[in-house]
Amino acid sequence: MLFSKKGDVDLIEMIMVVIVILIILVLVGVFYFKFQKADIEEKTESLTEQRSDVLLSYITEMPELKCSVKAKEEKCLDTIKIMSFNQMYPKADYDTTFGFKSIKVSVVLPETKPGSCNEMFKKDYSNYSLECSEFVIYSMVKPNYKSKSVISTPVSLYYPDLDKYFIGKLTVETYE
Amino acid sequence: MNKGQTEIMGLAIVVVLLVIIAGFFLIFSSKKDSGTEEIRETIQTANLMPAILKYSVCDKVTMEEEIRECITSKTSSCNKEDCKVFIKNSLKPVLDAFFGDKYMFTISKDEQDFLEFGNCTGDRILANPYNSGGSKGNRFELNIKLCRN
Repeated sequence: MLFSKKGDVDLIEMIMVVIVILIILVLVGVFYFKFQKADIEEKTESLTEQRSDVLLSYITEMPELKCSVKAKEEKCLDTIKIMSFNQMYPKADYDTTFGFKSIKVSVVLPETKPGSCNEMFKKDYSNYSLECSEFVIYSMVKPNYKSKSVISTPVSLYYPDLDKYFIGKLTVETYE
Repeated sequence: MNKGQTEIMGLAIVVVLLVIIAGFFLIFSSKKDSGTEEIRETIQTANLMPAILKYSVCDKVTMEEEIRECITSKTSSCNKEDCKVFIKNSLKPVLDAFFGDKYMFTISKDEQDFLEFGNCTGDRILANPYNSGGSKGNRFELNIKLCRN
């Protein structure tokens, strides 16, 4: 017999060591890629939130919604403009700008009656101010969405019919 | 030590090294970014201050005018008995709506606190003070401090 028993044992030992190291490397690789995937998903979520933050700032500066008094721009949203925008937007190309989102403004102070201002405005545009609490600026819900992220910021709301300023909350819901 | 034992020792060292390397990867890849949340809170407080000052607290009177009148002459432009209580009761609901109970709201003039309310028991994150408009002698400061309990 050409092969010695000692040589056989050494060979088997070496093969076992290589197999064990390979198994360890595969396990380390699996765990590493699992955590990398979770990290990428977290970063994607963070980027989506940052885009929504930018969108919040953009919405408060949109001339279609921002109030202006005697051609001087003010830091507030005009409720009449919000209602007009909501009725107009299906004809304009805002779907590519906003995507699958819901953009709403709710009145925080003073307390007003709960209800949709869009509906009230359609029924009686001269008497909606204290009779409702929520304006929908834009809404396109993603079918079968898995989750949604919600961010908001305070805004000043101007009611031209009352010549008064209320405090509202601008909310952006992003569907994923 | 015989050869087999030496090889097993070598294998054990390799395993330990791999576990340490994997541990470092986990530590550095799982660090969370808390900066985004603080930026968002700063933007929220920055947007809330002008909205508060513009608020029509009663007929033809803004909150800015009411606060100024209360600071200078201790009276209410809205004909309320106690202007400080009126201002606090008007603003507390909106601050609670945005920040829950984790804030401390202060109105000050010439570095002296005029009105303060809120509930902070832990560390505070200072928000930038917001200066009202008006002439030099009429200006006051609003400040919202958000708390980490």
